[in-house]
Amino acid sequence: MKTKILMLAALMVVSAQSFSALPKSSPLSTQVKKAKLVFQGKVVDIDYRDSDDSSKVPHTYVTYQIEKILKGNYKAHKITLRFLGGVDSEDDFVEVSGYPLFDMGDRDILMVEGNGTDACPLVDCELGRFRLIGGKTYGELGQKISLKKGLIVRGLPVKLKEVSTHYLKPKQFGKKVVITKDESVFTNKDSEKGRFKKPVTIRPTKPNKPGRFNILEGTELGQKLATAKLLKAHLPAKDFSTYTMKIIKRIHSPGELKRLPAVQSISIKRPFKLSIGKILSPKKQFKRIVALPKNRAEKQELQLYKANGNSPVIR
Amino acid sequence: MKNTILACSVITMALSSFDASAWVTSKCLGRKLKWPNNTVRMRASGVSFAPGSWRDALTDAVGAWNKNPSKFQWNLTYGDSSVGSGNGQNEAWFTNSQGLLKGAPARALTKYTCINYLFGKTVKLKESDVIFDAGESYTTTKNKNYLWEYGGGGRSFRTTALHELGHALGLKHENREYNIMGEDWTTVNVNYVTASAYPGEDAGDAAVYLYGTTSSNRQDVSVVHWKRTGAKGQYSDHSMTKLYNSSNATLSNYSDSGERRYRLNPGQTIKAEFSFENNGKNTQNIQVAYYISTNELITTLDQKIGSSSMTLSRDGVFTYKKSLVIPGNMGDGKKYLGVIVDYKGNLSEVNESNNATYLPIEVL
Repeated sequence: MKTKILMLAALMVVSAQSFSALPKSSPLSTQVKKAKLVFQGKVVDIDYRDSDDSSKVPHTYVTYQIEKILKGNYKAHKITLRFLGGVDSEDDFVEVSGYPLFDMGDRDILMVEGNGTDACPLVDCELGRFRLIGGKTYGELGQKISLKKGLIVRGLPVKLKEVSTHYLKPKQFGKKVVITKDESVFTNKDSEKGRFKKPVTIRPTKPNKPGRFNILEGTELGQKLATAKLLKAHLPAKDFSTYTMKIIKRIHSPGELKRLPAVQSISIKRPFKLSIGKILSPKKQFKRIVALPKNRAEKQELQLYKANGNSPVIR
Repeated sequence: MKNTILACSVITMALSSFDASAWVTSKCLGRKLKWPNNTVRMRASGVSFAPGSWRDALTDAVGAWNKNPSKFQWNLTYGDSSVGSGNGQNEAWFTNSQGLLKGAPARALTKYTCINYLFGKTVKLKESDVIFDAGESYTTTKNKNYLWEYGGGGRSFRTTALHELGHALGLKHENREYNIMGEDWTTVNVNYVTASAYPGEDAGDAAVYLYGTTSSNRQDVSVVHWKRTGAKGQYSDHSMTKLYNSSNATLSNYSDSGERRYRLNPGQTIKAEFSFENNGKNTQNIQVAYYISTNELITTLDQKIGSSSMTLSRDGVFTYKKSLVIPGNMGDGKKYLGVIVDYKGNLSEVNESNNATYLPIEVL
């Protein structure tokens, strides 16, 4: 039961709200609008080069055979994208939290912006990559992708070889390095069993009535599902492509699409420097206010609490 | 380096198989990807973390990590005048480079070695830099009224710093448990108006997995009014815990100053939901008490209405509903239903200030 609830919970979570996740995500339409190039393609080459400055930070050059351009001014059949991270000249590896990892043969729909200028040339970085595996659409970590009103719904990651295995090609040694991701089984421990010294009687719950969302009946999640009917099928790759095309046509006029600036492929031979931006002092903040106690008793309680090192146990 | 033989190295994103924690770390060549030493220096940029509230907040975050139950400790130094990636130093700074951050409020860059030499394997972290977005709506205040989810407009810098420092010591994102490596800004303990950031049980357990258990007597239990309710991509999604009627239906409520306030009646049987954590070294048999308070400061001076005894191990956050009867003699109006873990103060803890929290109520 709990497993089903968790799975459904994962499926209905909408990740595309402002402030909703550590890397801000956005509705698909916003991502598509920001992208200078949206294409479907297959990875045909991966190589590395250190930045041409004293930091010598490695970058990964990912070359795609373009299968379909959904948006953008790009004529060639291949494009190379440059990402911060990868294998450096001493065969050390650099990873950036939240940046995607690519392998030969990967098929994706990518929302490209800032190729050659940004450390990650995708809109919202890993959220600008939609993996096409076995005819279905997945997120960077294998999360099932579905859509609701233009918002991307990401489920829990699915175990997929294409996602769990990543290859690095050392520069000094010819053999590939294999990285595999292995997810262990997680058991929900929100159970009273074993938690209490004294036995606790758990009242049995009523059996569920027949119906689509009944295993979630009585929960907030169940209410949301019942009212919003948010649960949608895992998107086939072709449907995701078609949906993206519809969004592009809706938010851009034909004239706008024709006038889009040309997107460039980045040659690995081209020297570059890593830009980490200016080192800044963060912006000023507002002043702190503290809620004042309402009466004498509350004031005394607060004084005792503070005198007690903010421990709530006041003897 | 050049004479090394690099056979196929296998790096495994692995969870511990020995308990129900949900953290993710990496393995390479069958070995844990971690720092070779248990104490690691982190240098704060002199420009970004000049003396003042930002330095204080970063110091707090490091201090919170250093209360974890593992052997791992951060050694924070200030005034680094030449931060940058690839210089062999672990550093933290603010930048405006959206090309690097790409929508994230912070990123961690981690460099590691994973080589199968003829004479043995070398697997270790070599450098971790934490880069914060200077344009993010961070706040260093602990006053909850300024924070997201409490009606404010600020993102807690402390929670994000804890999250990134977690990456820097070897942790990955996690979406299956209430934890700091998921949605960081809701991983806070709130009592009175003070929101305290902390790594939490799950991340602490991950640190123990990587670095072993501390030899110090570092104990800590805590309670929060947050729980995991789903996943947002790589991140766990957290929501406030709730009050329910005896049939497990959410009590009628309304939004009050950014928080949900529940309507209930004197004499009513309700279920109060909170999440309990063991952030410390050893399993604890803990006594928990529930209170009614006239304000959001929950202490043992408030009116006690119930208690429990529970065993908290470092094996998964425990979100639990306690059945309680609202007394008939407490008067009506806005109040707070509080909870204190270890309410008799039997356990000596490294952090005593995270033992209480509340949910707003209105007695009709």
